[in-house]
Order: sequence, then structure tokens, then C-alpha cells
Amino acid sequence: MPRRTTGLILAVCVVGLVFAVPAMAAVDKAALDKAFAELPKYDWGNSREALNTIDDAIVKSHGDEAARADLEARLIAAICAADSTPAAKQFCCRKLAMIGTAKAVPALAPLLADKDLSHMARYALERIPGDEVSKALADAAGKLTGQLKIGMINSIGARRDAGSTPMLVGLLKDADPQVAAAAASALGRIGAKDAAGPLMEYLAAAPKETQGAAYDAALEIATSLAGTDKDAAGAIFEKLYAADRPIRVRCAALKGLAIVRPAEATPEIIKALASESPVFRGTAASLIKDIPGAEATALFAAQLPKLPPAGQAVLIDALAARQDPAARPAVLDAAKSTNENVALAAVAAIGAVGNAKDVDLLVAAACAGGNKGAAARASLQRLKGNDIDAALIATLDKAEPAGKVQIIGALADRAAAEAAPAAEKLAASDNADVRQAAIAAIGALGTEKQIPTLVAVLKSAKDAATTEAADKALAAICTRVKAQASSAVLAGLTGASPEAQASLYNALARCGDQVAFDAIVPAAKAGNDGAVRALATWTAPNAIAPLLDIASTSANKVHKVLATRGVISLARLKDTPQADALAALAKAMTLADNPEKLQVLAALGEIPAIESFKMIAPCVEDKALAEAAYSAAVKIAPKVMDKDKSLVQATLEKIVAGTKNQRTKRDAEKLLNAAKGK
Amino acid sequence: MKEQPDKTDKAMTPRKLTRREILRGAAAAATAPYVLTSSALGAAGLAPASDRVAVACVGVRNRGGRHLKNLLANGDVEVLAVCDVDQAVRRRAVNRVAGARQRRWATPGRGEPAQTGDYRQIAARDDVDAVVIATPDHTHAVIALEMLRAGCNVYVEKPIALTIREGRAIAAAAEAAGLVVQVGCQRRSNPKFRLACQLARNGALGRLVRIEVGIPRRAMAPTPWSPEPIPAGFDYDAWLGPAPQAPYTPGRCHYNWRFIRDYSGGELTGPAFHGLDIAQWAMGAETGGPVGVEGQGEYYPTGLYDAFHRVNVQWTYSNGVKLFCRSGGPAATRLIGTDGWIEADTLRASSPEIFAHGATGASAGDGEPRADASSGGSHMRNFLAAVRAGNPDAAAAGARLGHRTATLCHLGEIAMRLGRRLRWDPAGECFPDDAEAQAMTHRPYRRPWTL
Repeated sequence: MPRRTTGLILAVCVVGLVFAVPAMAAVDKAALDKAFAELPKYDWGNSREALNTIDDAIVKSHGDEAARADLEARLIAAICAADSTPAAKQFCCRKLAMIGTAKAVPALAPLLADKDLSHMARYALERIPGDEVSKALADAAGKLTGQLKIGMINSIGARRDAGSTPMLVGLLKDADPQVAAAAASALGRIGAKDAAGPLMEYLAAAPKETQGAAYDAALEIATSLAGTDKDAAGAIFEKLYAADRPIRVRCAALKGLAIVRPAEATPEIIKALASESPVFRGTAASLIKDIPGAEATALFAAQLPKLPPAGQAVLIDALAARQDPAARPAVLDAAKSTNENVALAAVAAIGAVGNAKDVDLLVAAACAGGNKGAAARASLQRLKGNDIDAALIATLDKAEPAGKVQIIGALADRAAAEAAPAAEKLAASDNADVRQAAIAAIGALGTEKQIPTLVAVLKSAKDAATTEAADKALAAICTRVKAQASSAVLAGLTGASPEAQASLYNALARCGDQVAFDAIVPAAKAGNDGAVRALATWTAPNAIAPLLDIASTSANKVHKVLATRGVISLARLKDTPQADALAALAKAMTLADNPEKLQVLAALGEIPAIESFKMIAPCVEDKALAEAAYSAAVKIAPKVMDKDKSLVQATLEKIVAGTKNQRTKRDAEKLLNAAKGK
Repeated sequence: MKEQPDKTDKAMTPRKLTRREILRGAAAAATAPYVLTSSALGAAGLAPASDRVAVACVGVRNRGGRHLKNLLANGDVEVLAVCDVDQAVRRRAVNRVAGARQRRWATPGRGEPAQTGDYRQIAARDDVDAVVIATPDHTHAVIALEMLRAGCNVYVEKPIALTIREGRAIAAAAEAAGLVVQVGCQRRSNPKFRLACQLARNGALGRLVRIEVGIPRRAMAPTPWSPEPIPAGFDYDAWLGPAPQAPYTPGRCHYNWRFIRDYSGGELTGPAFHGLDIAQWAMGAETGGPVGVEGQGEYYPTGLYDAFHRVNVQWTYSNGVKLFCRSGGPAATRLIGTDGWIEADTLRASSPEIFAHGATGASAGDGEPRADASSGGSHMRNFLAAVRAGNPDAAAAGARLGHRTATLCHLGEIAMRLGRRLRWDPAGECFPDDAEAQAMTHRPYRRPWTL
């Protein structure tokens, strides 16, 4: 339930909220009586305490009819009380909107004519079911004028009060155009069939400023009839589709006609494709997407040559969305268009309606580059069919280098695993583009079977780009297949250059198994740069010990830093037991320089243990580390306060005195106040 | 009135196309000839007049002022009119536009834009292609619907509306009319968030099980107040719009309206909105929603500000995913799956291997707005491009998905208000077994406003 903020709640916020809805406390009857006694005197700007008490009681009374009836009676009494302020009455109306019944109507109805409270009376009445409310609103609408009358009409519409349809129809002729427009809107919301005729008559003579609402109302009635009376709905949509209607109205009407008179709508949809308005064309296209059947596809496809270019492009998009191969011939013709937009749309559509025979065309287009090239490449990826990958592979041998690049890339995009051997053949190509595309494809598609090829590429690479591509591909495969790749990678280490070794150790780290670990650790301890870097990215806690060893003993400054950072990262892992993490961080703190010490402090701030706090506390005295220590200490202080209150409080006091971070200071002060019971 | 018939039916009397229709036609049909006047060709870097998007800005103070500044930096945009109920704010905006025009044309005399305090005067113009709405939340719906009725494309700040029913109405009106609506879900145009959602939707995190949206705790206080005279030049009645009558006090209006329930959904439609929007996107639920919601919130017992200022809400989806939002904690959106997690705000992840998943060209899924490379990550540019193409589907954050994210916020607010777990039917967009909650999906309008 809603809670009011208190100091205690704020303290709870600091230590973290839990996702649970608390059990509701019982209503304090004495407090409720007092609140209702104070309610009539409530005025703007006063304390809302009494209102909140009543609000809480209403929330808690859910499912308790007796309690609800009692609360409703009290609210009604407050509305009727002679000394109740308008603010108090407004509050009562808001609450009656939640729990009011027909019993509240006699109290609320008189307020409908009160210019200051009319809206709030409707606020409640609109949501109270029953004929009593309908009658009260209709009576008021009959008596009131101007804006108050419009309010009544709006509420009648919101309640979809069909019984008021005759009255609302009469109001369409009201001298006040705003009243007539409100009546039109209400009729639309009610959706009564017998209001359609008068509404269309009204529309014919409606002033410009209210036409929009009247159109919406007519569309609303037609839409509500579409499910039950297609003829009536169709008649309205047809009138609204007339050529002299606004485009947005015609669009909506065409959509309606497509539902209730699909056969008659189709020629209109085709006509709309040739419209000068892109909104109209877009509407037609959106409808074409949803009309089922191959016959419809053929019909729409046949329109392509007859349309202006803008219409062709829209229709091609729509045909693509249908994904019906029946559109393929027309789309292929359009791909030859001299109009750039049409040809582009067609190339993009081939991916949805084409087949394996279109591979050559798309490869050629992809090679041309530009927007059309990108669309062709996307189509190569999108083409459906069991024979597409085979067709692409078969095309590979005869293709020019540029084509080979596109084909290999498309196969990788398609995740065509059977293309990995074909890509292997091209990994040693003399053409740099082909070679790199092939290596990248191996990375995307390959398994451990392709590792020897990549190792060979790595060892024989003569340029940085090839080395980088092979490095990435190896890492990608090892990330994917994990332990299955480690033996093959390990075998590659023999005879590898230091650069190649770095890639291989990195790949082994991605494998993450014992074989990889047993290979990396001794090499790292022996000072192999690649192995140290690999070990520093290891993602299991078993690397903590060897990394600490390197951080302690290595003469290489870079290796010491890498190892220390690796230890800190591993200490932060969820899988690392808390005791091990604390021990690792304690050791890291003794080995680290200041930049890494800051990382240690951040890690300690994630471990809510007093041992962690005790490691942080001394750092608040070190100027270079103080702010990081403050932040970490404040973070875990609430969780360790009861373990060593004096240490925590003393540290918090130092933080308040020393921190330059206002948020940290504020949080520390709150914790101190909470600890001191303030 | 700007609503104009189309001349598709050649039997009808031909009519002149509106300026807006010429723009659209020119943008979409490469073969359509431009008709350029000599004055239409502007300085270098500017689009010709017939190819500029004519924009009006409604609400031009805080957020709206930033939108205005952004629009004025675009050579293919002409700000024709500004609207604000505060005369002083309006004046500053007018001066800003006039200054930009003078700098743009390097000659004085291009004049000021039209100005008004009544958005209906904007709707009555026939030369406005698009309207940017950055008013308080409680007026989004009435203004957006009026603009859609008038045939204008709409950029509306988040949330799309103050209530669920309002949001549905805007989405339905936009779809029926075929007009572009862009909701201010700016993260939808940010490649970083897009990547995070792509990874989540394509299985890089395994099966998505939980999403956590953290929001900062804002510096609010229970502010004492008393009624004060309405300042000269401020149309307070128009500012209140469809909201309940309440006495004027300065703390109620500019900026601070977001802390008052009659005008805002509080923290959920405020700082939490973007994170919740990303959650919907990551789940592929942007045209659906949760099936259950519960939560607790805190509000001040006195003072002007009665919206929840601390929130702790949980939504449940039919596939078992749980979405959490709470005040405090890190201000971030974390997507958590069976195989790892990613923080969408920073692209921090449980493992660098998460990113390897995206290397195969995976897309965010069918039905997603395609990446709009030409917009350079700018949500406004994306909107303008969609307007120029006359293609609502090209907008990165259309009305339907903006409405669904706003619904998420409103559901949280209703659950906190009622203090109980609620069932929600995302298909029917209703509470199937709670009439009280259902009644809270809309708030009756003050006269003469109507939905």
C-alpha cells in the first residue's frame, strides 16, 4: 500500500528496499474518526495528514463491503456538511470515484451545477455504475448551458450511456457549436447505429472547427458496427471515403472498408497506391500486407508496371511483407528499373520473395556497393529455402574476388555451418579481402575442426590485418565451443612465434578448461607475456593463486599490474567464495599501487562483511584513497553496523568531516543519525 | 482548416495540394518536380523551402526549449510557430527563433514566427507539417489528438499520455490516419541501447529472466504552499487544461508539476520511463505488456507534492520474466538472462563473450524499426525523416509502443495506489478482475476538454 515518508522509511531506503508488499496494518478507528472530524475544515495548502488517513482506510477496505459502506456514508456526509470547504468536497469526490455507489448520487448530483465542483462531481459519477447516475447526468445536461453542459455530455459519452442517444442527437442541432461537437463525440463513443444518420447530416453542415471531432465520431460508430452489422458500417465508411473528405479520414475509412467490404475495397486500395499523398499510399500498402491469398498477390503484383515510381516502391515493400513467392517475377522486373528507389526496393524485396535462382543477381548487386549493395547483401541473408546455402557455396568457386567476399560474408550472416570448409579453402587466398572475409567467416561458423587452419594462418601471416582476423576468429570459436577447442589450440603452440603464442594463449583463456589452465599457468609464471595476459582475463577463481604469485614475484612491472588487476576482477566474481575474495583483496592491497588500490576498495565496497569494512577503514586516512574508501565504507556500513558499531560510527564521522562528495556525505549523515536513533 | 481532400479520384474537382502534401510528395517521389521560387533557395547547407519540414512547437520552456534549439540547428526545418501558455516563456522562444532566422538568412526582416498561447490555433493552420509537444504530461493527449485530427504529424514527449485510455486513443488515431507519431523514447535511437536489446533478444544472455531498472533518488521535499495570485501573462486555466481545478501556486506549475499526481505519473513516468522502455524493447514486449503488477511507494504526508517519490514496483510477464523498478540503487537498466547480464546504460556485461554473440549480424527481431543510419542516433532527426517519407513505420518510437511503455508506468502507479497485486490483460488492455483499478485507467476531464 502507499506509504507516507518518515525518517525511518528514509533510513530503510538507504539500506535498500526489498520487493515485497508488506502486510496491511489494521485501520486505527480512533485516528479515522479524528480524520473525518477534521476533513470538512481541510483547505488548500493545509497538511494532508487527515486525508491520507482516510485514503489509507479506503485502500485497506478493499473486499470489505461493510467498511466500504461506512466510508462512503462518511464521505457523503462530508460533502453535504454545511461547513465543508470546496477543497474537502473535492477530496470526497475523488474518493467516491473509487468506492462510490448509487447512494452517493443524491449528494453528488447537486454539485453538477456548481461551476467550481461540477468537474469533481463528474469525476466521481462517471465511474459509478447505475441508472441513477445516467439520469442525474442527463437531467443536468438538460438544464445546464455552456461549458457545464459540455462537461455533462462528455461524461455521458464516457459512460457509453446508450439511453441518452436521442437527447444527444437532439443536441447536434444546438446553437452552441461546441455543445453540438461534444454531442457528436459522445455519440461516437456510444456507437449507436441510429445515431449514424443524424451524425452524417450534422457533418454535412458542421463548422470547420468541429469537423474533426465529428469525423472521428462517425468513424467510431462505423468501427463499433463493423463486428455486428457490416452493411451499416460499410455504408458509413463509404460515405467517409468520398474523395472530398480529408486524407486522414479517407485513410481510416479505407481501412474500415477493407474489413467490411474486402472485395470492393481492393480496387480502391490499388487506386490509392497511385495517390499523390504518401500517407494514402502508405495506408494502401499497409492493407495490402494483410489481404490473404496468392490470387491477391498476383493481382497486386500486376499493378506494378501501371504505377508511378513512388507507388511502385511502396507496393514492392508491401509485396515483400506478404512474403509470397508469387510476387517474384514482378519484383525481378522491378529490380531492372531505371528509377533508383524502385530498383532498391525490389532488390530488398527479393530476399522475401526470391529463391536460389536469384543468388547470382543478388551477389552482383552486392558487389556494386552503395545502398543497393547493402540491400542485396541483406537479401542474401534473408532468402529462405534449404537450397540457398548450397547455391551460395556452389557460386563461390566461379565468383570474382569481390563476389567471393560477398558470398562468404552472406554465408556467415546466414550461420551456414556447412560453409566452414569452403571458407577454410579461401583462408590462404592471395587476395587480402577474400582472405580476411574467409577468416572472419571461419570465426563465425567454425568449430574445433577449423582450429588447425586458423593456427596455420596465424603462424604464416605476413600482415597485421590477417593476424588480427585470425586472432579474433580463434577467440570466437573458443568462446563458442570452450573445452572442445583446447587440445587443438594447445597443439598450435609448438613452434609458434611470440605474437602467435599471444593469440593462442588468449584463445586458451576463452576455452576455460583445465587443459587450458594447465598450459597457461606455467607459461605465465615463466614470464610469457601472452600467457600472463591470458591468465589475467581468466574467469574462474582458480586463477587467483597463480596471479597473486605473479603479482608478488614478477620482475616485470606490467605483469605485476596485470596480475593484480586480474586478482581484483576474480575477487568480484559471484562464484568466488567471500572468504577467498577477502583474502585475495587483502593480498592485492599489499601488492598494488594506488590505481589498483582504488579498484580493491571498489571491490571491498561490494562485500558486506565487517572484515571488508576493516580493510577499508584505514584507507580513509590516505588522501589519495580517501574518497574511494569513503564511498565503499558508506555502501556497506548499514550491513556491518551491528558487527562493530564503534568502528563504523567513527569511520562515518571521518567521512562526514572529510568527504567532498555531497551524496556520500548525506548518506553518511543519515546512517549516523539512524545509528544514534535520531 | 487544414484537412484537405486527396485528388486520387480524378473525377473530382482538382484542387491545390497543401504545402505539406507537396513536401511529402517531393520527399517520397524522386520524380516529382520541385517548384522553387527564387527566395526558396536558402544559404548553403539549407534545404529549399519546399523541402523543409514546417514545424510548430507547443510547450517551449524546459524540455520544449531544448527541442526548439535542436530544431533550429537543422537546415531542413522551418519553425513556423511557437505556443506556450506562459507569455514570458513564449517571448523567449520567439526571440530565439527570430535570432536563428536572422543568422540563417544573414539578413534582417525574415521576421518572427507566429506565436500563440492556444494550441488550437496551431491546429487551425494549414501549413504545419509536424508539431513538437513538450507540455506537462496531463495535456499531452488533448494536444496530440487535436493535431492528429488536423492532419499533423506529432512528436510528443514521454510519456505519451497521463492515462492508459488517453494513450490508446492517440495510438488508434495515429494508426487510423496514417500519420507519424514519435514518442520521446530517445533511447530507441541510441545505438548503445539498441545493441543491448539486440543481444538480449537474440539469446546472448540465454533466456531473459529478470530486468532491473534503478532510478536515482531525487531531491524533493514536502513543500508548504498556499494559493497565490496568478501572474500576469500566464494563462493558468489553459495550463490546467483537463486536470481538476486547483488554486494557483508557483510550485505547482513550471517543472514541479512532475511531482503532483494530477499532472504526472511521478517517478515512473519520469526518470524510470526510459529504463522501463528499454526493458519492454529487450523483451520484445513493446506491443504487449505484463500480466501482473504489484508495488509500494512513498509519498509525503503534506505539502504540494503528492506523487510517489520513492517507488518499488514489480511487473510479471506471461513468459515468466520479472521486471523490477526501484528508487535508490544504481541508476541503470540491467538485463539478466540465464547465461549472463548486460547493463544497457553502460554496456557493462557479465562477460565480454556476451558481445561475441552480436558478431554474426543478429538483428533485434522482426517488426523492429530498422536502424536509421541517416539520423545519426538523433531521435528528432529520425522523426523528421519519417515525416518527410510519410512513413509512420520509420519512426523509432511510434505511438503504439510509446503507449505500451507508458501503460507499464501507469500500471505501477495504480498498483502502488491500491496497495495490492493486480492482474492485467495486455491483449484487452484491462484489469480483468478489478473494477477499481480499471476505473483508474482514465481520469474524467474538466470541461470543456474531451478525449
